[in-house]
Amino acid sequence: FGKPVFTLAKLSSVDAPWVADSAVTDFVPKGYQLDKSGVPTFRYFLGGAWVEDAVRVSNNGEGVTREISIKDATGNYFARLAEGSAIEEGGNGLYLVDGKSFYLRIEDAGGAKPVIRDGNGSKMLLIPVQQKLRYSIIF
Amino acid sequence: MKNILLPMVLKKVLLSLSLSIIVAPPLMAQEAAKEEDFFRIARMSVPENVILEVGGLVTLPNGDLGISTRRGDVYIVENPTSARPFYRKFASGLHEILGLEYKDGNLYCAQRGELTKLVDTDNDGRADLYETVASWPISGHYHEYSFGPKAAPDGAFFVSGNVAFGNEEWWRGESRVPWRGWIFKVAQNGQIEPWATGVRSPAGLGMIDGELFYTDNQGDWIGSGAVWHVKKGAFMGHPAGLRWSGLPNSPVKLTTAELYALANPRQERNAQGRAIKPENVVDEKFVTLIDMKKNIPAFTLPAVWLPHAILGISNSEIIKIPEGVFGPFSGQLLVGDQGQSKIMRVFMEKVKGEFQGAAWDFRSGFQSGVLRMSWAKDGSLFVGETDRGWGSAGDASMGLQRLVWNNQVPFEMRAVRAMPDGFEIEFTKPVDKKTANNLSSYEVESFTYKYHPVYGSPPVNTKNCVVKGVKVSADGMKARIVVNNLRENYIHAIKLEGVRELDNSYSLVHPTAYYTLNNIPKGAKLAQGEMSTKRLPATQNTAAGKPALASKGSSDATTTTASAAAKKPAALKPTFASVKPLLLKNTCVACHNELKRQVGPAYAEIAKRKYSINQIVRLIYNPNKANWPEYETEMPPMPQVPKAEAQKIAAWIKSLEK
Repeated sequence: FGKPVFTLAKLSSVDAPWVADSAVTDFVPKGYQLDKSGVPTFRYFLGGAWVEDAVRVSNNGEGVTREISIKDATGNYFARLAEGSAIEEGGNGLYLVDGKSFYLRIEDAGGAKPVIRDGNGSKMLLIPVQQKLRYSIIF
Repeated sequence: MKNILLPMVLKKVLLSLSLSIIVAPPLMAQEAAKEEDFFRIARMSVPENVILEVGGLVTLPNGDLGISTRRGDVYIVENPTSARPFYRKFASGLHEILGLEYKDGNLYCAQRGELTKLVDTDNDGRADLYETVASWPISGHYHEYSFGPKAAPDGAFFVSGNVAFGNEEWWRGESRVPWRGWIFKVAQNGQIEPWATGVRSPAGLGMIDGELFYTDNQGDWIGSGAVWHVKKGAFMGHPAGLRWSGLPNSPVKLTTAELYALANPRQERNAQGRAIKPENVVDEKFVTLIDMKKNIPAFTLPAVWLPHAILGISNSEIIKIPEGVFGPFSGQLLVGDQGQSKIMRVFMEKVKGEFQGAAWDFRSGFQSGVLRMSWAKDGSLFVGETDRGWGSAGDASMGLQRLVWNNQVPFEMRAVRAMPDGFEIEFTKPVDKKTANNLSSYEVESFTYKYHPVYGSPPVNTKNCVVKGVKVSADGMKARIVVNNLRENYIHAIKLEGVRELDNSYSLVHPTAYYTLNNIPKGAKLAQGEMSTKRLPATQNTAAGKPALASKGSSDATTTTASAAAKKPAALKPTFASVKPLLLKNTCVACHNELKRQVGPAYAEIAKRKYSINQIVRLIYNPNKANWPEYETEMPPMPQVPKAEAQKIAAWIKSLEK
């Protein structure tokens, strides 16, 4: 995290090179739905799948939580949650990236397991997204 | 020396003769009826914190008014015609909305980069679903306005894209990404279908009886504003969009190279390698759109020209007047203008299967640039206004007003129809047969515009057309004039200065019609015996027009003999009366008024600068934008103003110095 790059991609496998195309040509924006407090949930097509993508303040105010849900996926979708020279696992689904002062916490991946692998000359944290992914960035 | 006396005496005789004609007829001292005697501009109350730089207006089926603004808000106004309308903010956070449409229970708006459907899913009176129907590329240039949408009969929407402008060549419209400089169709499923190109600033899309029309703003390549009928594959003239004509789904196949081979884009550089802005060359061989169409069938000529500076400078919304609304004008079109802050009226007919017709002034005096219009349920007209980024007549930078008819029928030309040998004018009230049968009451001249990369064009190929005869119908409602020298595709200015109404001897509220004669109809010509060929001295206007505010350009008729009298002894101090015909003829009035700030500075303000007469003349020919930094609209060079006239105008401006 910390970089303005697209989080989701359709890959042939978890080891396939990450999508280099920053324009994300198979992305079709479809606007957003506001909740009762006027906070948007973004909606878009990505590679033919329908995605709903919402960022909200975490319940206890400890950070921000993002929830992504995918429907009609034809193929394997992965989220690239972090990229850096060092990704440490802190237990309980917590990750520390490059010794920064905030944590990445994977809360609900529908049972999928995250993978730390090499790519783009550094380490990447990927997780398959089958139908749902929820993670938080905690300060 | 001795010869001076004789001409002066002669002129004095002529003057007293013409004065006696003014005084003699047994007419009551009538003021010429004015627009505001029939159509009142009413205020609409707007809450203090609501900023309405109107980009879109639509009346909902229940009578509520939907307003979209350039600030990205959508308001719904309940009881909009009442004294206490209620404003509800329906949506916000959108990107410069320049249109609003209602379809199947939902509002649709065109943002800079997408067509958005606004849905209130939980029925709380505010939109909560902002659905992107389709998005299109934008480069980020400030001029890439996207106008629309307008619902097509098949359920899709039309949207149009303004061009961007060059960095070094800031005067040249260009298309940086598809489909800027295009009109395109957006289906409900998000599919984009490029429809037509050659547009520059297509601010006014209009669906009229199921057909698409649009207006453009005069600028580079577009000599004057006009109303075009837009069929799929049309090319209206501006080259920018041709950049994409090679794309597989482009319905226009003409390439930029093919166009430039026939019309020089004048992309010249000076000795230092800097780009030179093309300016109007007075004595040059030029081409017109008419010439271009002969060589390139893809060219689409306007249905009805709106002569630049006379009928607007930045045309906008086109709407049709519904049945039962605005009396004799129902069924005709109204077109807004963002620069002169007024509305024009257009009558269209089809000749040989193509649209053509006449245009007149209708109502001026709105507080800011007219961009959008929508009908209220009570038959009044909501007018949405904004002038940010441009210069407009009027006191305000934005507005929402209402135009209300008082049910009194003005004496106007209702319609002008082309005839095999001239034109037939239909009036709203019976004419006085004596003035209507007098050929001196009519004047016709025709002209067109250049097709070139310069910003706008002066009128060219101007020819006088002799009115050979007139036949007035028995009921006095129609006058058919036989006119020689008709030219197809040319604009024919038909002036009826001398025609009077039967009951009250009123002159026409708007005495000049501009008819675009794309096709001359076949049919029987008037026989010699059927028409009157009398040519008596012209009727005088009893109310020798007070110097009306220049921005109105409506009812003050200067007659033929009165202007002849005005051309007398030039040695006298220039008066407004002597210079007014020159200001009208050279379209100075489009932007300047004696005392009030309009698109350009007031003459009194210019006089304060204490320029010499020669300096003013030079500035007429080559204005300097840097002299007036607080005015956004650049004055185009006016090399077409004859030297003698420029000097007269300059002398008069100088005389305003205190």
